[in-house]
Amino acid sequence: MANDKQPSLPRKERLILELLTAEGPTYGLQLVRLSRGELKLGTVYATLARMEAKGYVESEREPLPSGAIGLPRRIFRATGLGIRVLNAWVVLAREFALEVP
Amino acid sequence: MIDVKSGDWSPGFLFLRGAERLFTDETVAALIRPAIADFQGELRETAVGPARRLAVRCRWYWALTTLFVIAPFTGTDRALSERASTREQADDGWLMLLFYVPLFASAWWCLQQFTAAAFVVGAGVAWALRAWHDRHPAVVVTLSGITAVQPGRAGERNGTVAVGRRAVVEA
Repeated sequence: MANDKQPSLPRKERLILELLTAEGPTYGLQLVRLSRGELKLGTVYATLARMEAKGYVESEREPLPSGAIGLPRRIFRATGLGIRVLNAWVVLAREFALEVP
Repeated sequence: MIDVKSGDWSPGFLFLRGAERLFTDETVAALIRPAIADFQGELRETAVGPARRLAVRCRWYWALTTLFVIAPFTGTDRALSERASTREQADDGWLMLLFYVPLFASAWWCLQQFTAAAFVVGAGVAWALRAWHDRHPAVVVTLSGITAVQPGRAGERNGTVAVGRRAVVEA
């Protein structure tokens, strides 16, 4: 029986977790650049917001350069839960790979 | 820390002001502000020359427009539940629907058949999409499915994967 409280990991969320664990904390635009076209500017922030609601990532404001005006960037980093879910996905993917003839 | 207030005319200001009127504070904070911050950051750091700046602006205006369209459907669960449970937010939804009225009305005088066909085809496609999704539920991975898998158990591969697949489909 499915349980709504159980963590899930769609493909784009998995990609973001992989990028955050490989490259370290970064902001949305940089994730789009690092994904080489798999993530889109128009949707990456919605995915990040959903992941933050799930507890997979956390964010903090980056201090602006001195003299700069505007909004401070939001820096995202993977949480312990996010890393655990990603590691669990790797275990499952390995099991499925064993089935490939 | 410097922040954008309603009176500042920095890049993306109009988008931010519009978002503050249309969406909840949670949605603006989680979706719109990070996007506009990255927009401003890219202009600040990489855009040199008017042509390059124009290209960056166009790309971001398109991205922000996309974000506006999907924001009502992809906000945090709490924000979505607040939208569904308050009369004020429901009124915002009707406001969004009203945007379509002048669009179709202005096109009617020259595109009668096309406008009518757009209604019919749109309803048909919406029904087809819903029917397809009902028959093909999203496949996601859950921790219960993963913990059901016992890696490295020789001779039980078929049984192990069957457990994994069942858990994935159930999710």
